[in-house]
Amino acid sequence: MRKGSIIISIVLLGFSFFSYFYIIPTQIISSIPIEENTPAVLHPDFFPRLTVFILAIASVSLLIASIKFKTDEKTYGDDYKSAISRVVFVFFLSYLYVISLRYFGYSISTPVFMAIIIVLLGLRDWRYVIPTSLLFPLFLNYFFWYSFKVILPEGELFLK
Amino acid sequence: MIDQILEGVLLALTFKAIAMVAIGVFAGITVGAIPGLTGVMATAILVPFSFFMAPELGIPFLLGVHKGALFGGSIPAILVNTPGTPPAAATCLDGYPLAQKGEAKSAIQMALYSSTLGDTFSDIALIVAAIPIAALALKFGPADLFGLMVMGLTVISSVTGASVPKGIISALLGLLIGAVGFDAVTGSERFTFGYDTLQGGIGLVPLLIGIFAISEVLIQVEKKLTVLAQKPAIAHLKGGRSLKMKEFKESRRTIFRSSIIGTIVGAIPGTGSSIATFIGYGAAQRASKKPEEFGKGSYEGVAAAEAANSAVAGADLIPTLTLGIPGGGTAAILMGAFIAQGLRPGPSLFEENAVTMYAIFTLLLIGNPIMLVQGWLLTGLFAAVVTIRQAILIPCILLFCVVGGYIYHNHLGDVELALLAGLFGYMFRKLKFPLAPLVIAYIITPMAERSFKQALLLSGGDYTVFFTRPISLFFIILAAVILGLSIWRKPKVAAE
Repeated sequence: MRKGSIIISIVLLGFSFFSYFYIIPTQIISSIPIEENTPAVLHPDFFPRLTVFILAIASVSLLIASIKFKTDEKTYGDDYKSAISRVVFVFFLSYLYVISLRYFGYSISTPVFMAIIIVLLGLRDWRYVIPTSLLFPLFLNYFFWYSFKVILPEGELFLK
Repeated sequence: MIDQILEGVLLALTFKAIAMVAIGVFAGITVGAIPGLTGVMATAILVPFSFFMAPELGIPFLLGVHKGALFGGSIPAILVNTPGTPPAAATCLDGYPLAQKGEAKSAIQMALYSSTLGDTFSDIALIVAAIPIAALALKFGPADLFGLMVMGLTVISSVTGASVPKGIISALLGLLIGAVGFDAVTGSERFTFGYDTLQGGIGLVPLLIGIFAISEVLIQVEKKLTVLAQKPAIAHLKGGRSLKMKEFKESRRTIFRSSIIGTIVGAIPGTGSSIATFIGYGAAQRASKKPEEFGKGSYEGVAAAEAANSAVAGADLIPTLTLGIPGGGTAAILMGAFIAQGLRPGPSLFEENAVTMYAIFTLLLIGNPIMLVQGWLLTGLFAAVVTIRQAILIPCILLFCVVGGYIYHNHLGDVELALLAGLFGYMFRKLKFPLAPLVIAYIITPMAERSFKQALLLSGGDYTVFFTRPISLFFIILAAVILGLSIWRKPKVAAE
């Protein structure tokens, strides 16, 4: 954890410099020209610059604190490799699911997504997997339609 | 004023409004009863639902969720020794030993009564304190308001989490996220990176769902497969005896003391239920005639933890509603919901929306007996939630997050944003950064920037304006003192 804090403080310090000298000058675009005699405080980049400047100071203090106090906390348990791989897999699967919603729609993508996640989380009993992955999405779909008149994604492939 | 109060009460006393509170309480207890899942998460997931309702229905619905989740957390704490919410950790200490003795039912009843009383106490404190504080805050100028926000953010950053720099970094990143989109003064585009969807800023709902709910799902996924797929074995609930009046009477003082502690601690931004619970529990043990029973199955212990825990629910709305500074994670979500409903928390809230606010206060109070009745009648049902396998619950919650993100604007881009925010929140939590300062800073960025600019414009660009006005100076000195104390105290606490 201490190592993690040192790394993150260096990353944040780098981010502060990158933001101050690159992101803020290029990503704050004035739609109207700002006159030269306008007070600095009115400039749209004033507040972000101030924030980033303090962020750099806070990052340095985190770095010093991490070096000074040698507390070591465990971030993951002993089986951290499988824990991390499960987290990564669930995240990417969720992302793929959102992409598939765009093309195949809610009704087709959701049961597949649900079934994969349930199996991935260790439940291999089909008496639970199939009803949950079919009935819960169906319930949500009806609930949103009848309660709020919201149509969940229908999928571009099926839209005429 | 009397007319407004009456109008507000009448607005609240409709079947629809009371039903929404009841549904909120039910949803809150259900999610709170799921081991490991928090009330903040429940509120974040259910925020989009409130947008389909009028403010006087949507806000009480979310408040009901908040109330319910705080009590709901005690159910798995007592039955499986796993707190549903972090503040319920102290309830485990005495609740689980009671359940092992076959007294789970009476322990849950004690948790229910103390939660309801603690919550009612803090709701009354909120109602009594809100209007005078808001009236006082109306006299603040822009420099004072900015000083107040600096103080609020400093307290939240310093108190939340184990490290002061991490809390401050979290708040600063929140300020940067809040700066994305159009600048309110010049209309300039900030940090949009060419994406049209970012012109309106980073959406509140995707951020809340991602930071609080998806990150929580990812944390839960880390558990061993055997834990996720197994049906939890619960301590026996059926056939247990009901709580005796004598046991309740013996805990009356404890409940009252914990309610006061919870209300005071809850009103301080950033402190939250966990701190209140342990202070309340410690105080009860010191004052008890039977301190040796604490940790071995004491009803007083359950009462102390639950009353303090639930007393935070109303109290953390005091700074949120009157000053526009959320007291904690859930209060930040509620503040976001207020803003989305067109109500801007802060000193002018009670001037501009008095009737709605009185309706909300009325429904807050009505929510307590509703929780009592639901808890009394449906304990068995809520206990059944504890037995559902996490491998089934997690995908259902994830699906709720996706759908919740989508219905915000009927746009899948928001769901992608929620997923990214979830990953960011997950990494943040693993690195022990507190999430509440980030969300609170994100929400108050527009107000803070506006006050800052107004103060400097009025003073002709003179930066000393923040130190020459007495109120602003008071807040800044207070912020500096709290920051200094936290920096001095925290390494000691960590070392201990």
